[in-house]
Amino acid sequence: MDAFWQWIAGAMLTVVLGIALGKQSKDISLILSIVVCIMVLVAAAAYLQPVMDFVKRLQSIGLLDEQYGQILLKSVGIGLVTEFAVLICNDAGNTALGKSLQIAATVLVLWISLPLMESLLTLIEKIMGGV
Amino acid sequence: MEIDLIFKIAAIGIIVTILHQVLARSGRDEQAMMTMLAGLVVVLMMMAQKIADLFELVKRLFRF
Repeated sequence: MDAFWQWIAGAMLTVVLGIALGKQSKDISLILSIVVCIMVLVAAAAYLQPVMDFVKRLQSIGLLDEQYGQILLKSVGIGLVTEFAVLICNDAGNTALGKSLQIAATVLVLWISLPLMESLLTLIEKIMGGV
Repeated sequence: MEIDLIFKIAAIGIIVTILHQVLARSGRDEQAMMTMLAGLVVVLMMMAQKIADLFELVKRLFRF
């Protein structure tokens, strides 16, 4: 839990330094906030490893198919990275770019989930065919 | 979490700003702009390394 307080302290420090730098050089202030966001995300991702191990265990037990587990993980990864990129674009005043990224990521997640949706459709057809 | 990197970037920002102001006020606008660009490039390189680390981590963690 010490890491959590470090993240909060680092973020507060970045906000204050950003305000001090922002008046003269907005670009370096923005880059500073991007770098600190990345550091916090990388530090937080270390705590995701046990969650990933748990998903692998589920797969090995057979409760979750490998293919669907991959789709799930990739969707979560795309969502997280896109959210981060979109917020950075909004901070820099580039809302249009952020929105385009969001739409692109949505399309990509839909594309990745196609096998899952096809399996669902096949299952529904089987059930309907049976009725 | 490397707190010293935060201070490094802030220090580069402050130094670049001061140099920019000094050069601009003494009439050397081109040099002031080049100093600003140089500072930006240095900070961008630090950021690029961190972004590469983040993407590597995401690829490894989410099995891309």
